[in-house]
Amino acid sequence: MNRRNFIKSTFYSSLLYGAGGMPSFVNESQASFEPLGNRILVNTFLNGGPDMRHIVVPAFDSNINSVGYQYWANRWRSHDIQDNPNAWQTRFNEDYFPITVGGDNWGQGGANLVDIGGKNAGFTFGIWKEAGWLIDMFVKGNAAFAFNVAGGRNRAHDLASVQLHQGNILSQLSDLSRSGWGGRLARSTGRNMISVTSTPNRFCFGPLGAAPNYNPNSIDNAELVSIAQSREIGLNQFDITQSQVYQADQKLARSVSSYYATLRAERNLLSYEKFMDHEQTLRVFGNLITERLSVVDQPPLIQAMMNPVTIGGQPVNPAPGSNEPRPLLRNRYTFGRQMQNLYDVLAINDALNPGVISMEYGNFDSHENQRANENTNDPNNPDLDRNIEGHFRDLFGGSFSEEPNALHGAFSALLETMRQQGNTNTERLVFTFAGEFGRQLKDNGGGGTDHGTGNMLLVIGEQVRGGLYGEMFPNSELSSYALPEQFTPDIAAQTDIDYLFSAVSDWVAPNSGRFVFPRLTQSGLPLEQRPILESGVSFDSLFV
Amino acid sequence: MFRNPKLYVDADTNSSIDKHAETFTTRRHARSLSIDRSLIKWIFGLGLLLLSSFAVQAQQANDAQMAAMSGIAMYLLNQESLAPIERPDGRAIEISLNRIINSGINVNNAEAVFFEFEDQNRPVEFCFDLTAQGSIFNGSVALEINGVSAPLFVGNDNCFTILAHLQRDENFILIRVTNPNTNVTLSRIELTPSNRNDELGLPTLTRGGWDEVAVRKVLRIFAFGGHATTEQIQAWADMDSQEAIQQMLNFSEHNARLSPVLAGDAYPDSQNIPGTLDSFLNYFSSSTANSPIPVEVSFSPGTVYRPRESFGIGRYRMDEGFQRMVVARGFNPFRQKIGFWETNYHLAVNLDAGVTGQMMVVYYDSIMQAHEQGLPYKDVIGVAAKSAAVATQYNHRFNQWFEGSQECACNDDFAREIHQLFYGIFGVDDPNHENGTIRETSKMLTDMRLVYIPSQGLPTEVDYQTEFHHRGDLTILGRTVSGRTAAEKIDSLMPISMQHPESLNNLPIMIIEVLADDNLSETSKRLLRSAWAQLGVNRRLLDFIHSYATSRIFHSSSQLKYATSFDRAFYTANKFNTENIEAFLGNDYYPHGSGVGKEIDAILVADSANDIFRPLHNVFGGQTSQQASDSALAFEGNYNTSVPAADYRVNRSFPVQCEACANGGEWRKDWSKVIPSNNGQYRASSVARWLWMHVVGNMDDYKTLEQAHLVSILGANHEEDPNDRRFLFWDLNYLMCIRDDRVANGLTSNNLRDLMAEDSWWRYCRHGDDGFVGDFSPTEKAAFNRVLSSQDITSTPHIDSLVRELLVSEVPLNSNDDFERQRANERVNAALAFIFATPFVFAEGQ
Repeated sequence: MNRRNFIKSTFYSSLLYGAGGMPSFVNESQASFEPLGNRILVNTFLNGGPDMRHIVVPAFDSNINSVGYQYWANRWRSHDIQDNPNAWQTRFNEDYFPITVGGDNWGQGGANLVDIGGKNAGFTFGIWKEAGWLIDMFVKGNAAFAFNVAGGRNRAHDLASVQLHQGNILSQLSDLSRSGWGGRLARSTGRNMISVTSTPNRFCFGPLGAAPNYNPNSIDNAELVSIAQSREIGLNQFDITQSQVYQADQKLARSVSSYYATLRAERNLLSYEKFMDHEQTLRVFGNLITERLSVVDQPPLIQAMMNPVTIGGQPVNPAPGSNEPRPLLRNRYTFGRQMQNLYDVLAINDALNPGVISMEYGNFDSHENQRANENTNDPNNPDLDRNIEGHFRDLFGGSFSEEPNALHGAFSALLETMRQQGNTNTERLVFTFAGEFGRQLKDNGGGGTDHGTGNMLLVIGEQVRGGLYGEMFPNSELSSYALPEQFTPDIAAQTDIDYLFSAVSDWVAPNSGRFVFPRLTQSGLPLEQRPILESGVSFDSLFV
Repeated sequence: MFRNPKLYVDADTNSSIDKHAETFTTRRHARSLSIDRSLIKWIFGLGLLLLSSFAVQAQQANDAQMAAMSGIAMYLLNQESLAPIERPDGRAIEISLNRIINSGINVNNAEAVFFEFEDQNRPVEFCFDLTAQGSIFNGSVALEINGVSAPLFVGNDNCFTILAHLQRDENFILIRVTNPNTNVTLSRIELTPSNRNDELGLPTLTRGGWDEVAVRKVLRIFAFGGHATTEQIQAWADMDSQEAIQQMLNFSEHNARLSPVLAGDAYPDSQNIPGTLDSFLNYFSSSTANSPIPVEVSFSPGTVYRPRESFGIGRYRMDEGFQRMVVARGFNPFRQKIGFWETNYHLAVNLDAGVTGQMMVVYYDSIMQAHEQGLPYKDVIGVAAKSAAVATQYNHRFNQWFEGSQECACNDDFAREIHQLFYGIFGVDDPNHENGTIRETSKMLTDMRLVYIPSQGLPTEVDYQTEFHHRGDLTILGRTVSGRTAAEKIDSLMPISMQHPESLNNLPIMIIEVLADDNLSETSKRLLRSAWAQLGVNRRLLDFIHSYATSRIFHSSSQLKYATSFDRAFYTANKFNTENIEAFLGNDYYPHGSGVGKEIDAILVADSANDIFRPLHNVFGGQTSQQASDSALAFEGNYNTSVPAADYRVNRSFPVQCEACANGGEWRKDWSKVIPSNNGQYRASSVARWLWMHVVGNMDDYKTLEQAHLVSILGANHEEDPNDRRFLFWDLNYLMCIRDDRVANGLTSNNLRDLMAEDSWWRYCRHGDDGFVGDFSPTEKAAFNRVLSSQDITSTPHIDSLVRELLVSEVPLNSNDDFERQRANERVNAALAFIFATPFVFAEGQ
């Protein structure tokens, strides 16, 4: 049941019972993690335009006319290393896990990785070693790297973000009343769009009308449930089991809740509809979530995202030489909170019925010093600013074959926790990671990278057919490197997200992709407005 | 068809005519479209309240009743035909368009006076001020417009719109006095076009449209509500809008009309110290400041904490220092609103991006000083673009041009954003934008040095050098930009940017959308762009804001602005606090037990809106109004702050007194300092209306429901045990519970006094009584849980009767009894909490 129908039924029940007598939402069998009942998309917006070429790099190649040389010759500042091939080689050797397409490390444990279109045969690249979870998922065949993809095809954060969220590169800043692709997908699933950020992104906004014939250019947030603090959610209510006479809090709570109930019934407050909606959602879902989570413990690794935790007598993430635990994540107050919300939403997925979950990790706009404090002996120090490397470690950190004891990152910790819970149906999860644009081919004078266009996007999940989708470091870029100084070449966009994420949509809700991304089937579009797809690339077999 | 908007009574029920007549519909006009007989009946029934709330001075009751009666006549006017009328008897005065008659015209029962004018072929507004001597009662003064009665009242701005198709060849407006003991004087008589544009071409409000609601709307959007008194607001409403807006919105460091310090305020220095951020923070953090915040406190032996210092420049509560400046009386909230918007939104920089506190303060004050000096907006933006804060934020302070190798060791960050964020230039349709303009701009931004000074840190001014600067001309935005240094080139670029077609198209919209309207129509945007263009390259922001703030674009039914968490936090604080002790303490707790005033920072934290000067989106600015409106978290935080989860939190949230907080002495909240009395009385009905108007700014949604809940909180005075006087108020359901329990126990007399007798409220509707151990009885539960509809309230005799009693109950704000007065102030705070919890604090507009 989606949010609106759920609220309707529950709200009328609550009126029947009276505000002080809401029905119970919990029974004894629901006191632990409820196995995932449906396929769910967890989308993480990497806000600011992440330099994905910082964590997936070509192996250094001494051939000056190779991308493996030109990359390092034009990117050494952003790696904060010296301007010489030895330094480049050292950086690659020490900090990147090498994989040769069809060769070394190309799949572990019998994984059958794909190189769609055969564009990267024999090419050696590296994944940043601190992104252990990403390495692990890739070599196990559970991570698809999609290259040269554009969220938005321009270099302005705000516009490109709108285009990414809406899944429509034709959107302009004046088109803010259009729905998001997450909201459209949620509508297609018949389940809820759940935002675990402090405020929902445009990605979450649903379309007007029923799937599949909804209007993508209007917004109706019928399924949107915002859970910014899952363990502290809900509106204060009066408690009729208590004496009331001296309780000012009870009196205010009673009068205000009664007022809202009447206001909703009697007036059509169009301009204030959002707030009336918040009140109703929070009152009903707040009760539901609070009750259900009251019997669901938050596992230690999930707590550790934000807080110092000791597990089995072992402190999590102690400083070198210390025995004091520290939080797992640097970005613990915002992203750590989101991860805890995510866990809770998944744990009571039978009640919240998520189809799509929206997350966000910010501060990827790395114009300067995008690698910082790299010489520390304590890279996991959650209080140390390592710029985007810290962000990537938060997201993608974890263990892999070469570093079996590496510290968990966020998603590594989540999946490990779910694994420990037993049969949670993790195969029903798919994770997507995308920023609004990529960076330029060359770094700038400040040790950072400026706004570009194309980028690498990630689709990760047990049912994902892992491997490479698109040419990792196109040879065509070699001529771009050679352009005069005043030009600012970027990673050329060769594929729009429509193709990639419609495939994801189809997996989450069969046959939904062409409705979630209507440009794919829209007739009469001028050539320049049609979605583009890199030659030889297909996402038809993105999932097993 | 006539209107008298000032009375909120309107005859106009024919929307199609209205739409044909006017391109823009004012808020008042929009309201008039939905008026119905029930509203008129309601206004008639509450005539006394209506007038007392709006502080019309003379003959209040009779005037109000007269107005309400006339309102009914006006309503009936729609049924009249346009049959020719005869020239009235009396003294004729010819009036013509745009000519004002300032001198007084006396009218008594000896001779009527009528004004005549020819068909204007356009809608016109006829206005006059009315004063009276002698006895005024219903019907003693009559107004007829072309033979049809219309309402009038004693006071300024009796205004009537006469649509074009209802004008005759000769039109007559007749004033007749029937009582021999009555003399009235008409002044400021004028006939003006209803559809007027100001000199920038924006459709401007008429005299009738510029009223208290309009003034409050301006204050809410542009001054965080401000601190103006009810009388000052009325005075502005009575003024010409252009004159009023100059007084309301200016960039002076102090605006005593907008932010007066109340007489007797223990902390009045804010009106005397310089009103810059630098001055305030230095003053407020000093040990010599006249402040309720202690210089030193000790929470445990041997420890000393100096709370004032934490508000200093660069200290960890600097942002909270700014918060206090916004809500303190004595400065200029409009200046702070614009300063906040410039530094946290339009020209945002961020303390989390390396910008120091010192830089931030210099940045803020430099921008606002430039505004205060009346500099063109291009120069104000230039001040920002040349600042140390921006050079640090974007790190172009490291940018260097190497002449020999012709290489630029630069980043593109500000080279892009100076165009996009500062001016709205995205480079649309400009093939040279990315590889031309932006790259050239990065060369412009070279050799802007900020050299670290040991023991001082980074300087607050950029040292513009030439050694690593690209000294040659640059081509930016298709124009040549020259200058020896980056500063000179920025100065050269600013007028180009200001007049760039994309800037002309986008910047005025960016300004108004962020400041004032999330719902601009394309027509409004077109007019705003035109007005902006008309101001020319040397346009000043203030001129544009003045024009917009008095326009029918802003005062239209389509305007809607969601409040950011900052807007809401500042606004509710300004509506809650009455004295500077509250603004300065901001609910801070210190060992001597203070903790008064509305806390702002807690709202921002609860909403995850980030701190001031640490915008959520870095240079893209703080939390947007759309984000705030979409945030269930913000709604939840606001609700749960207004409706705390525990009784002690209520007392903490709505403190009305402290023992040793005001220069070591006691302080008590005194709402009587700002709420006008009615001949020395504070009726629950008028206090409730005043509070609603005070917070919401209009009475559009103040109806039976709101009134019933508020007067229950305000007006239920219970008999107290002198030895057990606790914070206590009642809600409507509780009163119903007492009543129903009394009925269940066979009592038949259940008026308000009966319910509130000590042996009643203490005995009935009690937990665990009537044989229900540890529980309420079913009757009591039903009363508590009942969702009362408006129909329930008006049509259930005992509820209707109770509410009527509550309406005329006293809120003893001026009682001689300290406890009684405190109780009254507590109830006002509780009523405010109720209003703060409604949806109407989240947006301005309909």
